Amino acid sequence: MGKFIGKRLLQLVFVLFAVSFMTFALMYIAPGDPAERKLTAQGEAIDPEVLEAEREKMGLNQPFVVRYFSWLGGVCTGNLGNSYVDNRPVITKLAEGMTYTVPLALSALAVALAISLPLGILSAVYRNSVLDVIVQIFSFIGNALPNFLIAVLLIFFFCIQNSVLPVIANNSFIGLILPTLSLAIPMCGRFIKQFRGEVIEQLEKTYITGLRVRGVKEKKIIFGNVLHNSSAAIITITGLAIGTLMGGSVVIESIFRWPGVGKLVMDAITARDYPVIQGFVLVMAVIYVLINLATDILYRVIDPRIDYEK
Amino acid sequence: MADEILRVEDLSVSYGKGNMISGVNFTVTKGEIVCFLGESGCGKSTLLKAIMNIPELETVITKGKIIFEGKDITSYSDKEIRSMAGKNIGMVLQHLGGAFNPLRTFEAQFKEALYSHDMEYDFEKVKETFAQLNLPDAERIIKSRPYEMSGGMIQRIAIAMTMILGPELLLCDEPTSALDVTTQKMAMEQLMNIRELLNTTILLVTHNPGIPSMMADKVGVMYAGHLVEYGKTHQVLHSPAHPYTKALIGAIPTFDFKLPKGLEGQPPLNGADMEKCAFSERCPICKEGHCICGNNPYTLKEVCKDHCATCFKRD
Repeated sequence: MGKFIGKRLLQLVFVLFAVSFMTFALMYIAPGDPAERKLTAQGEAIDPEVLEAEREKMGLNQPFVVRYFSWLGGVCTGNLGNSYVDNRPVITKLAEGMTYTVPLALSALAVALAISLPLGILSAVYRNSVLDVIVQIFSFIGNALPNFLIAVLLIFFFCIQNSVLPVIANNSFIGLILPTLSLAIPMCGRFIKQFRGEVIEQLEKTYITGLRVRGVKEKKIIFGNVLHNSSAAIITITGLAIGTLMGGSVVIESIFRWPGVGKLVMDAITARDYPVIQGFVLVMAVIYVLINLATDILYRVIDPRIDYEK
Repeated sequence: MADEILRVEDLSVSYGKGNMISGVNFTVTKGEIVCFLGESGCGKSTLLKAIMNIPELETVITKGKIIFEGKDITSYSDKEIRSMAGKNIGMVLQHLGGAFNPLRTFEAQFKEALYSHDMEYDFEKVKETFAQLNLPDAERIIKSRPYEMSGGMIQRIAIAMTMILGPELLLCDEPTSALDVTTQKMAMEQLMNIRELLNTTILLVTHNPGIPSMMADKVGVMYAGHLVEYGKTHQVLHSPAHPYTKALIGAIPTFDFKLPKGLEGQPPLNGADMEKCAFSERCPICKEGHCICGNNPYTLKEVCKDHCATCFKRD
């Protein structure tokens, strides 16, 4: 296992190198002049000399390779560069965004799992019952509605009609409720469908008949066997969702004015703030690779047949 | 009868649409091994599933009774049936590899089954049972998972599990079909051991007519959902009465470099619900125009003591 983790961490270096190079290259060939955008954003008149001086200051006149390696050198020392817009360190801006995105992502995931795991299992165990039909309808609606529409509906019911929750309440528990639900409801729709399918697949395996003819209690069959064997798939589904959530939800963060990384990167794209975009992509790549690694390790714990050493 | 353990009375079973078996009658005495023979789809496995009768096996008893240890278990609730499964009536499945959860250790699975019946897990007992079944190194096996074992070992572990749960009646659904010839012999010996050690009654379904001759006290021959012949092994196999049994035994391959006689045609799909004899289309006697099918083609009639058949021609 140690060898496997070491190998995967080494792979991470190559993945990050490739991701950073591609992002940098894409930003390089993208149209628009960051120096011009910066000066415009700061309300300064665009004088060709000032613009040239700004380009020089920002290092935009240097060749691509020099710029890339100079940036990469900074990355290795933990310096992702400074924002073109406000000249603040990218790492600080991302960290600030993460302090909003991480609680929102984790709470949305916790709510989605708390709802969809029991409903997915119940729906599979009582397949074709009234309960199953109701859960499936809920899952279908959750899947079909885009999260911005759910957000608007939630605002309408809880903020406008009943005034029980605020629309904007930054960094507070109450403010977290509506964005959490807006993200969790569509996720529930997807999770329920996937968990139900996975549990049904396990319930149809011959070992379940083996357990039943031995008179093993239903509770033990579901929790000790079906859930145990489905957990690999559940972990994969959850892992992928964590990755997506950590990237921040641009729409939800914008609607609720939640200053997470989604909103940060959206603003950076509009302003052609390349260092922020590159830093964001790099951090997301690290998060994805680490989640994948954690998923693989958990797989090995659940299913010892998987031998990563080979 | 004092030592009668199972009596099946006029049993008809369906999977929801049309009967799969119909009007089956037989009795089994405690400690007997009874083998059911017949072609694929004749209802042998359905019969065992109906006796087990847990809802997940999907059999629906449409008519008749199953009297187990003097009690009609067809009237039992699902909960009562589940509590009997494993402890009173055990079942060894056809695909033994699938009998255990592939991701959990045998220890966890033994404990789970025993605790479900409020029984204690005692490793010494497991070790002793493993030794009786020629399973060495119980400490290692019990900590292993099914994928680490061979098919033959899994089968013996499944039998060990059954022995520890100690059911009075053991149902074996083609337990040897997935095994090679030498392992088949070992499996048969183990089943005979169970009977010897625990006086367990065994009902076994097989395609292989060689198996009952080796171990069964009684043989039942099934055709298109009907029990057409039932009696002592020696009598059924050596003096078959029903034309189907005769044809079935005639179809056994031998070492004389000749193709077995075989039986032309296929059994009817709705045989269990047919009023006329389901075998009449293939019956050599009917084909010769000397049909002996009576008004009740599915009533077992005595051929001689402990041997009956639904249709036979006295020589």
